[in-house]
Amino acid sequence: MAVTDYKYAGTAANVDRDGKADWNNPDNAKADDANKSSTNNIKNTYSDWLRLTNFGFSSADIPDGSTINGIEFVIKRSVSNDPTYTRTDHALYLYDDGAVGNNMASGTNWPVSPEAEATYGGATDMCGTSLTQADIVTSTFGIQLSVYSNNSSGSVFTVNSIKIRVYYTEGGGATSLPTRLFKRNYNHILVR
Amino acid sequence: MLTLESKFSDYIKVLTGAGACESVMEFHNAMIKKNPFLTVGDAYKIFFDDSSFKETWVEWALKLVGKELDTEIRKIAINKIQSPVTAKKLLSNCDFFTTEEKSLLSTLAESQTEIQKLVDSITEPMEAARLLIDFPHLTDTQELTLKAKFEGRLPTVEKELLTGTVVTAKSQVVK
Repeated sequence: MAVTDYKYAGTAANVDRDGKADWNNPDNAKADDANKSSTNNIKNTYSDWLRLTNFGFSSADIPDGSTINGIEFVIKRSVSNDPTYTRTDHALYLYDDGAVGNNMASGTNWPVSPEAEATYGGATDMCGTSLTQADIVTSTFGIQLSVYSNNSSGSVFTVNSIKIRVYYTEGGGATSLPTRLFKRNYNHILVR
Repeated sequence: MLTLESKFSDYIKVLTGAGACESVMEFHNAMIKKNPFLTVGDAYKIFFDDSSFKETWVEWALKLVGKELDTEIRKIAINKIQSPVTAKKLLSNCDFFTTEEKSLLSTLAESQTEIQKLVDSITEPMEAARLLIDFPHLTDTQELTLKAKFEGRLPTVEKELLTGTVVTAKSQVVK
């Protein structure tokens, strides 16, 4: 089994989730540097989505026809607030032109500064998806995150960066139709 | 110490001093503009008569300025709380409650009728996991009911509970 380098998103956005608190400066989650994206005033609820896509995987990273064995992603994050309250992921999905797979959210509280990394998925963990090489090399592949606090006074969540790497076996199978295209073209048959 | 007869404008000063956010202050200031002679008692009646009232507001107010309020106001506020989770959070995060207030909140936090209602009402997997992790007063059956609501749907949380990376509040109490 081979593994790609970690890659960072090329595109970042705040996406509405039931009109909850926005993520400010989503672009700041595209790189591990001094700039950060944050969401404020999460009071007894969850946030909007921080959606990162366009991770730049290509056939040079994962050769055509490879079998995807696992997906791993790392979120570098912190929360600046009272540590007695719950402050966690609420929903965390891989994204392929829509949320896919399992909710990978952790029940672990985010660290009060300094920030720390949390790792999800792994070498043999597909995160509940059946993503193919063709899905992962598209610009719409990515991840989306919504966070939760039960502090009635509000919590400030900060994401420094999110990076993804992919475990694969070269030449493990025929080039398959991307899941997204498959769903678009054959969903009517599957539904029946 | 603020009483039900205190001016609402004095209450606002206390809120401002405690760092209440701008949007809340705008709302409170608008009430004073409408009626400069408003008392704390009048204002609380307006809050509690409002159909859009949420008990998270009580939690917020008690946490922020509860120690500046006399026991009569606090009792009115506490009596508006219905969720055992809110009661538990207040007990854990406020150190100014009297013995009687603590007893009221503890009774609610440990009320099996209310806890069961809460457990039954949850449909969203993460909400079930959060209650299981955060709330200590669950019976074994309630724990199983909550687990069933997220099993197979939150792999990271399930792994964390299995490995002990995340421990439930109930297991910590037992220790």
